Amino acid sequence: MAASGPAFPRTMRQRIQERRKRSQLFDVSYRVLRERRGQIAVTIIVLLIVSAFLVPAVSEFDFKQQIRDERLKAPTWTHPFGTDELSRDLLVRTTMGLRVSLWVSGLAVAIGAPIGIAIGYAAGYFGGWTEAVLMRLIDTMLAFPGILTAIIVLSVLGTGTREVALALGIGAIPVFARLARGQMLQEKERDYVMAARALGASPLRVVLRHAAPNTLPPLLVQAALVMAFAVIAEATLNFLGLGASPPTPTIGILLAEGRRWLTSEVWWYLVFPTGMLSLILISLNFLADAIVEATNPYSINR
Amino acid sequence: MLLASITIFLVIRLIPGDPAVQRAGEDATPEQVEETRRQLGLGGSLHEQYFDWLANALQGDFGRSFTRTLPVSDLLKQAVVPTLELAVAGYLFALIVGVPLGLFAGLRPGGPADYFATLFTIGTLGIPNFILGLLLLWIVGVQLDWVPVSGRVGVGEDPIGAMKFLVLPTIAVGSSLAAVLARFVRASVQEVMNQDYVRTARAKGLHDRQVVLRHVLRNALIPVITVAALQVGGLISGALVIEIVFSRPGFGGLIVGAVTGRDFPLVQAMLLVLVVVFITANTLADILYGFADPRIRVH
Repeated sequence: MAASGPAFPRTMRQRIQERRKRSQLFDVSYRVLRERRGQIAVTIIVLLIVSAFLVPAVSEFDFKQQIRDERLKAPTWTHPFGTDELSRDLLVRTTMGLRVSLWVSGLAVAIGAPIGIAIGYAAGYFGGWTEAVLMRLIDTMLAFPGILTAIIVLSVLGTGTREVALALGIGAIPVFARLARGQMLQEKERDYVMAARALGASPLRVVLRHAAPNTLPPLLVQAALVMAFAVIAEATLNFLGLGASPPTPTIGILLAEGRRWLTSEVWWYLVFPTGMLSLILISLNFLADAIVEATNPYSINR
Repeated sequence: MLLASITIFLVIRLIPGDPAVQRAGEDATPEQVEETRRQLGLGGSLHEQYFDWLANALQGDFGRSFTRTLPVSDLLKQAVVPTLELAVAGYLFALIVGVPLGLFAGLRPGGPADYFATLFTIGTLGIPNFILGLLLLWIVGVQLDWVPVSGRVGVGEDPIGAMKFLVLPTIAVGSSLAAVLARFVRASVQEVMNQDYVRTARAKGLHDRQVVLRHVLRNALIPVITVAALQVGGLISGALVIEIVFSRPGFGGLIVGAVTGRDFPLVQAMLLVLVVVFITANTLADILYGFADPRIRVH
């Protein structure tokens, strides 16, 4: 807006327009990629996604296929992760499970974040009654910690992969709502919001176009952390038998089945699914750290 | 808390499938179904049912379990001791490990304690509670065969045996909280170490140990109290899962069985008990905060 003033030097104007082309999201991603932990995290996540889709497609074994005479075999070159009690290839089953983990946790964030953020923005921006009603609702949801919300939702919806994603998404709403509200409360006092309102912009425009980009970094951090939590919760629910039904391999189900074969010889059944899960979790946490670091205006050398 | 109880009640009613029809059998007449419904306390309008339930619940009567035909309060009483035992043990473990670790890490950033704390944190981030439980079970329980793998003995009956059963689940429950606390204490200690009063205490010639105990620790622990209390909810829901991993009797097994068996009264009662515990813990956090930091009470 200011750039259209004639008194502005041309170079400055160009620079501002250049910056406007780069969205905040682009800016954050760019800076995350210059962060060492960000690079590690993104590399691992990309590798995991690629293998989650490539391995089951390329492998000569199917996740349901029972191979003759290969029951509970230790890792070999043909079966790098070993085989399970029904003679199925664990590499394929683990990567299929990885696919489910990524898909469910991504979906949970995709459900929980927009709803939660919308509630939080509305509560923070309008205040008054809207805020009182919305936040009371959110506080009620927060009274059910961690995995309990998901267990309640699942008892209504029944069990299944999609149901787990929905349950975790609903469970993620209050976290986003509270954070978004806090951010909005800060931003709405700023002069630029006042200016936009004075110019007659509608609340929707002020919130989405002006204030939202400035509240983005903490919400992105939260998204990464919520996704990590969703990965754990998904595995836990499946482990408890509240998720997908058995022929579908998920990491939680693999661990639950592996638990029954816990003897001193069978080590691969537990180790590989755990390793996969740890890789996702650590890289998501690194990603969150990298976003914090990349968007922290006080950190030096950026 | 009232809102939470209404939510619990309504949400449970949303569960598809009419338990009265299920219970009365496949070829029951409509009258028989109606009769069963009345027995189960599902007759009457929704708000009547709710007030009945709440009034009874406040007197400690949660009705009868649909699947186990026992009064729900009896089932809860049986389950509460093992769960409480594990949760308290896990909490103590987290405090005993987390606070000193964070303190030493904060006092000497970059030292061995700090290095260990970082390692510990990354470890617990990467390995969720229940998997840590599985790994412990497998390494210590199966490979080394030091402790029994599953089950529980009451502390009253056989204290040493009870400890053996309790050790692994405790570590599994408490580790992630220990890491959270360690990280928090570390940050808090570092902040306090830069305060003027610590420099003053040093300058007037106090011994290092005295400075740490009297000035640093007391001030650094104030914010930690809130975090520690707010984590109670997460700790208990973690304990429920760990119970299942180690096949311990308790709330964990009960709630999963109740959800899969569509046992309304049982699920309702357990959720109510858990939510009351969480809300109490959060309120306690606020009160404790006021005691620890006199400045808060002014407002």
